[in-house]
Order: sequence, then structure tokens, then C-alpha cells
Amino acid sequence: MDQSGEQRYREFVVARSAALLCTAYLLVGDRGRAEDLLQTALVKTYIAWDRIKDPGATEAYVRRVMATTATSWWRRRWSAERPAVSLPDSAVADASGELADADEMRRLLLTLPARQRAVLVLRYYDDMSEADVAEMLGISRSAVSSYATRGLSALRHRIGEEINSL
Amino acid sequence: MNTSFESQFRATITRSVEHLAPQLVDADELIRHGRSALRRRRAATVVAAAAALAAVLTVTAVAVGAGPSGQRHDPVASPGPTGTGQSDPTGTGQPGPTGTGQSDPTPTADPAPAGVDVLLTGNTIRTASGRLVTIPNPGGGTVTRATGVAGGWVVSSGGTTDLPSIEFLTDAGQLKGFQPALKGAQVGFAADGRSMGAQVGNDIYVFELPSLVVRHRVDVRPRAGGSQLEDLWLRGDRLVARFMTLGDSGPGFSGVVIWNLTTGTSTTSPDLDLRDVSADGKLALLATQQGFGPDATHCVSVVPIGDALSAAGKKVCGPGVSLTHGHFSPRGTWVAVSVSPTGTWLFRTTQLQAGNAEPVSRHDIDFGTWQDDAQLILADERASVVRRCPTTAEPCQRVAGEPEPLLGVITNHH
Repeated sequence: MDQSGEQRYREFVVARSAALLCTAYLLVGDRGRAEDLLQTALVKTYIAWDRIKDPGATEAYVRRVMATTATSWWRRRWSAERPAVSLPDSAVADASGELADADEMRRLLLTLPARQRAVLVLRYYDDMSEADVAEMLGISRSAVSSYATRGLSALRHRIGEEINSL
Repeated sequence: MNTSFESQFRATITRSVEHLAPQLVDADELIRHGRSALRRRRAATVVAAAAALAAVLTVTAVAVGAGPSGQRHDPVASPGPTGTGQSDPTGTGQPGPTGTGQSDPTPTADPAPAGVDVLLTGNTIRTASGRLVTIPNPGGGTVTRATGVAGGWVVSSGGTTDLPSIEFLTDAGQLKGFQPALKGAQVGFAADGRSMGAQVGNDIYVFELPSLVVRHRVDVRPRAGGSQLEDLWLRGDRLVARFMTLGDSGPGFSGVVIWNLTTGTSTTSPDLDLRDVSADGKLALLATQQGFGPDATHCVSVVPIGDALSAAGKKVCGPGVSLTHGHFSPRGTWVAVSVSPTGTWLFRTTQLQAGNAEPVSRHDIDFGTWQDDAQLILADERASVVRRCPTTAEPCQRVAGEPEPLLGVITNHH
């Protein structure tokens, strides 16, 4: 990378790190690991910098690296975990508002399998379209839709469980 | 799907990160990591490709009865005067009674001796005369780079995760460590190969070669503290170094510092991108960039250098290509300019001084090293093709390359 490229890289890092850290935090649920994840993704982005022809695509590239890296971390550490069984949409929607304080929702989000979590974070926190998420994660749009549906259903289910246990 | 829950979820997770204090990201630290990763990746690619090729060749050689592939050779061995074309392509160093010339799986290879020092897989150097020198137990495991100096070679070894170890290999094949130990150090050499500079911490050590005695120790902090050393040259009693600032996160200096090792004085030339210094220390090759991104134009220029350096000089730019690096020939008659993405253009030094942009010759392969002022060695990244090209109009000649397991061409400073 030449000097001007490195300068643009610096500017990108300074401008976007805070927002990207939030995404990383939602993906891994821990400040320290989020910083590790962001750093990993940004170093990979440095390596790929000359191949990223569209400057506007840089941030998407970082998010993709974070999502795939978080998924691979999760696979290594939590390979025995199974996705929650989905329940119908009914019954718990109203209850969600009672329980869903921010930290609790984030904690519940972490109970989801990494791929589901990545889809929900990219789709609902980063406001990406299904098509963009699909392209970013290398999966089909229908798979994105399926992951999102199952992820949200699982969250509703777990919220319902917590309410019932009160 | 219940959209109210979707909305609730969206708002809630957004709130959940609002308390997250912004992280102070050190972009320069990331750049250091990135540069290091790129260097390791390039080295690993070369090593892996060559190792895979060596494995294939070993199997091939065994299959055709070329002799024992696992044979080890002495630290210093000579395959005889036949040189490259008939040396063992497995790098094992012993032609053996069957002679690799008879079973050479590369009928297209040039049978003439290479006449070029090369680094082979298996931690082996083959000199231009065909002598094989084994590098015994290098600190980093696998040698990925070697530079010829007085009394031997400076070799760099390391895997894909560690910083490379830099050691001295004597002509007799004995490996010696520098003191202080050099791990991942940026190094530079005198044109006669009798001294080497290397950065350790905040200091540049100047070692005498081949004694490895430290002759000078220069603290870079007063001139370039907080900056990264990119390259250095020893010319006469001067140490010339190029630094690059690490950004806005702290004090830094981008440009050239010249230390006079006799007087202890130094000068700085900010914002100059020095790429080479002629062997006599009188000329400098500068690279300049005009514009940014895809519209950037890269140019080179040759300017005088003494105890100071100025940017005054005519530039030569390559329309549609980037002129990024350059290498003076040993006597300074020529400059081989690297053209991005791939290629080498040859200029007379006087042409560049005059701003004449028409090269004497153009080659579609990267620069390897200068053999002398009459011929340069060109090689692709993996040294799968190595050519010797006269500076005259005569055609280039292939002198080494696949299927030989080469890691690279060795530059000699003596």
C-alpha cells in the first residue's frame, strides 16, 4: 500500500471504528473480545486494501470480516451449542416490551448461534437489506430470511421463558 | 413475523450499545500489524510454493531413478564446475553417481551454469560458481532471504508467525548471531558489503562484516522518533535512512535522515521518498507521487546526495504505469526502475538526470539484482523464471527457474 493508501486507511479507521466497535460488541457480547474482533478485521482490511476498489465498500468489507470471524470464533468455542427451538409468534410479543431492557436483550442475543446472531445484527442494527446481508455472508436471501425469522422467534421464546420464570 | 417485535428488537439492541465508550483505535498499530502480516504472507507463499515444487521434484527424481532424494550434503559442497544446469534440482546438493544431468526433469531448462547466486529451498545457497552452502539450523527455521556480503551472507529466517531472525552465514557455512540479536530488524548494507546497519529498538547499529563487531550505534529518536524505519544505506562514513511517519497519533517524521558517522552530525530532508543511493554515495533515486488513488502518477528522479539531500531534479513519470522503485547498477551507470504492477524499465542514469522518459529497454518481469554494470538479473516473484539481461540490445537469457526449487535471487554487496 502506498502512502496515500495508508493515509486513507488511517482516516477510515479513525472515522468508523466507534461504529464498527458497536457491531463487534453485538456480535461477540464482550468489550474485550469486540476490540479483538475489530482489530482483527481492520488488519485484514489493511491487507486487502488495494483490492477494495470501491472506497464506499470498505466498511461493508470490515463488517463482513467481523461477521465471518465472529462465526468462526463461535464455532471453535461453542460447537456443541444447538440453536433454540422456534415457537409460534403469539403470546410473547406484548411481554417483550416489559422485559426487553437493552442489556437483557443483548444477553439473549448472545445465546443465539453465531450465524443467526450475525444476521440479526447486520439486518437490524446495521440496517442492511436482506440482499446485502446475503451477499456479505455468502448465503442466499432465503437463508437470511430464515435465519432472521428463527433468530427473532428464538428471542421471543427466551423472553417468554424469562417472564414465565418471574 | 411480528413487525412490532422487530421494531422493538431494533431499538433495544441499538440502545444496548449506546453506552459503549468509543474505542481509541491506534491506526498505526494496525498498519504495523498489517505490514508485518503482508511480509509474512509473501514469505510464506514463496516458501510454500517452493517447498511444494521441491516435493514434486523429489518424487519425480526418485521415480526416474535419479538417486536418493533424502540425501543431505555437507555444509559446503561443490557439485563441480558444471554449475546450475546440472546441479541437483532437489537442492540436496549431491549430483551422485547417476548425475542429475542425465535425469533432469527439465529438458527445457538452460543447461548453462546460472552464474547467479540463488537461495534454494532446504536452507541452501547456490553460488554463481555452482557451490552449494547449507545453512545449519537458522534461528527462524526456514531461510527466506539471503544477501551476499563480505565473508558470507546475511540470512533472514522465520515462519509465518514470528519476526524473522537475521544471522550471519560465513563462507564456510557457519552460522553466527549478531549481538544484539536481530529479530525483524530493518537492515541495510554498505556497497562493498563490509558493514551492515540494523535497527534494534531506538538505535541503528552498524556492524562491521564479517567480524560482526559493532562500530557505531545511532539513536534515531532525536531525528525520527516515533517513525518507522523503512530502508537504510551505508555509504562511506554516512548512514542514510528513510523513515515513514506512523500518522497523526504522535510525533513522527517522514523523509530522509543522513548521519555522518565520523562527525556525529545529521541532517533531515522531510517528505522525500528515497529509494536507492548509488554505490559511491553521490546520487540518490527518489520516488514521487502526484495525486491520489487511481489518478495518482508515480515518478522517479535522480538527484545529488551528500551530507544532505534536496528534491531538486527532473522527474520521469510513466504514463499509465507506476514507477515505484529503482536500483542503481554497481557503478551507477544504469538505473533499473520497477514498474507497477510488473516489469522493469532500464534507464541510463544520465537519462533520468536529464528527465528523459524513454527507457533503453523494457522487461515484463521484476527486478532481481544487478550482476554488474553490463547485466541485470530479472526474476518473477517466486523465482520461477530467472533471466540475465544485458544492458545492451542483446536478448535476455533464461538462467534459472522452474522446476528448480528456488526461493529467490541473492543480491551481492561486494
